[in-house]
Amino acid sequence: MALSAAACGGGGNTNTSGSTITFAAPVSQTGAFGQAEGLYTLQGYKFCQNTLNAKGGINFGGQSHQVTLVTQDDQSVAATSAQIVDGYNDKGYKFILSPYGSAGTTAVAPVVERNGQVMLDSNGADTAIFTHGYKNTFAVLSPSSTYVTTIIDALAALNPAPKTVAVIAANDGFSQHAAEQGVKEAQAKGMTVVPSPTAYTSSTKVAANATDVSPALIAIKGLNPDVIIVSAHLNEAVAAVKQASELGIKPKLGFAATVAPPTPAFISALGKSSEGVLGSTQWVPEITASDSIFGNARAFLTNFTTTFGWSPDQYPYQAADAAAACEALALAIEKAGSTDASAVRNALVSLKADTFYGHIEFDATGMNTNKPMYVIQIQSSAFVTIYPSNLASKQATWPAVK
Amino acid sequence: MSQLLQAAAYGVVQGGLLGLVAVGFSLVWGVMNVINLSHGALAVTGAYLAWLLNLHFGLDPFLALPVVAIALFLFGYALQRGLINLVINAPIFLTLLLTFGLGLVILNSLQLLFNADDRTIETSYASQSLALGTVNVPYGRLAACGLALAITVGLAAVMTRTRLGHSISATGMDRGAARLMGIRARHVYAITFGISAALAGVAGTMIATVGSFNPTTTPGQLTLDAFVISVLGGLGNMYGALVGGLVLGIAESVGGLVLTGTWVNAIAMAVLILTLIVRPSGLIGKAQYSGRVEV
Repeated sequence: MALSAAACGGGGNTNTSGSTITFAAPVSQTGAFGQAEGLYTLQGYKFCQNTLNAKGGINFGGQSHQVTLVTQDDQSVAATSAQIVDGYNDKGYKFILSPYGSAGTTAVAPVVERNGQVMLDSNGADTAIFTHGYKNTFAVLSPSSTYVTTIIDALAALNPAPKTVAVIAANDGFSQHAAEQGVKEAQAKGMTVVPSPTAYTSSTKVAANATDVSPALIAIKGLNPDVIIVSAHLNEAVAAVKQASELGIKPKLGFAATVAPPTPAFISALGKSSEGVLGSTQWVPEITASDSIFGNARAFLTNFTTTFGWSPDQYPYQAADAAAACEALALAIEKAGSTDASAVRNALVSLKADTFYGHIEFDATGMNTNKPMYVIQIQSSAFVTIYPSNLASKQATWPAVK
Repeated sequence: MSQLLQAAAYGVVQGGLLGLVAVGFSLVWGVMNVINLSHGALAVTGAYLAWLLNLHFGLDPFLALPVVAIALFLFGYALQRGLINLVINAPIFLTLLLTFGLGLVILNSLQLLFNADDRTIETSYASQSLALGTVNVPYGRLAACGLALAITVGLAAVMTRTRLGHSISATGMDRGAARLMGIRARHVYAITFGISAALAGVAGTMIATVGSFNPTTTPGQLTLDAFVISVLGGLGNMYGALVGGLVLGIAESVGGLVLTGTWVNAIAMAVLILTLIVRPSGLIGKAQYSGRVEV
């Protein structure tokens, strides 16, 4: 790069060109995730590939190796992701970048394990993925347990802090686990969860990717919670905000949701109704982190949004996750000095890298557990970091509901 | 109890919206025996048109309805005359394939033009609601429900009291006999498909007003809804789609409250299966439509 030359401040690259290295990814381009989360993940991978190659590629053995990105649409179906990755193995592709989402990553992980491939997980946060003893899957992002707990922590720091919260959760593993941990955190912070602490498993549970969540909203109607928290993805969060208004359900302070609010699609789907909604996010450009490939976090934001035509006020954090996963894989290959999957896997185990995304270091299960999460609020159609306070770019508008 | 009333009220207005989505689909299926798998794509085309009119001219979606309906009617008429008519006598699988492919072409074109983001038409009233005690009835869905009722009644009047309606009914019952009576079946089919496309556009406009839409997931869902509702309500009766929509809307809303929201799809399918066991021609469908003569 290459990576080491740039890290040492070296400008020139005198290495000869080596063979190209293939990164393969089953990414949703159609189906439930195709219009938003899958697209952002794909753009993150592409941006990483282009930036890596522009910096000289991956350097080892006296040669610089360009990266080729191979992708295939998994149609937002987890089983299809797994089939695609199996097909990649038949073609000799050992380095896998994960599909979008926990369901797809959960399906792919055992395939990767069986085939001796190595997978960098960019957007599958469900901690259940890491309870099976897999040795070849490594996640750069914070686990699902932190998505709602971070929201609760941010709410507790606001004035006024909510006394009651309602949690609507989709019935996928990621959303349920995030809700479970969030309810515990809320109770630990002295908040009352309505209609009951276990409602997210019954009356306020909705089908994953549902566009009608009215039964869950009706279940909390009349209870007047201070905040309604949606532990789910884009479709459910959009439906919750829209249908709550239709049903005359108005939280006293505001809405919060995982995954959806820090995505451009949330704002385009809701328009002004998205104003004031809080959302937990894996990455914000205010963090003080940098590396030799992407520069600092702010530079990543500027270059990525310019490349793909996004507004810097509405950046998809999933792309940062994806680029960080791709970067970690490149760093591990360079560290291993080889494209042998086993050697790269061992390099990932001991990888300690400071990147634009923050510190990347995997625990024994393959999770990057030390990475914090953040909370943004949508203000004037822009993502404004409000938590933690030392990174806050503006004060939260609170109560968000007028 | 108030939750049950709320669920029932929401189910009624949601059912009306579903009926609006299905009425055009049901018409084409009943008259032409074509299961139009591009129906959702046509609805989303209407949604984009209304969205553009709102974005660039500030036109309220209800005022945009006539423009959308006329544009979609002309588009539907041309599609039928120029394309679908070529396979109208072919086995049903061919029309399924053709309309499925047509839907894909429309949706990919929309995706190229507008990208895949979710869109919505913002109004000051659609997300507000009429409070009746503890029950809130959303204005947007209420209006869509009223529109569905008005369109259904109007369509029934056209079908029973006008020459055009009689021509459409006659062609749907027995194309050969209709031709012998001097009816130009090709033209009648194109008008029928045009009306169906116009109604799809109206439904799409309402979907965009009360919810959100995108070119990837919305069309498939709308087509599936229309199919289920048409089967549930039954073909050959202009009120079939509305009745099917209302039954489905109430069943999903009330059932979702009692059994949790994750059961919504299972409830919908259970209602459909039970109905078909008891009444194979649908709730108010006419059995003659399953045994008609095609020449």
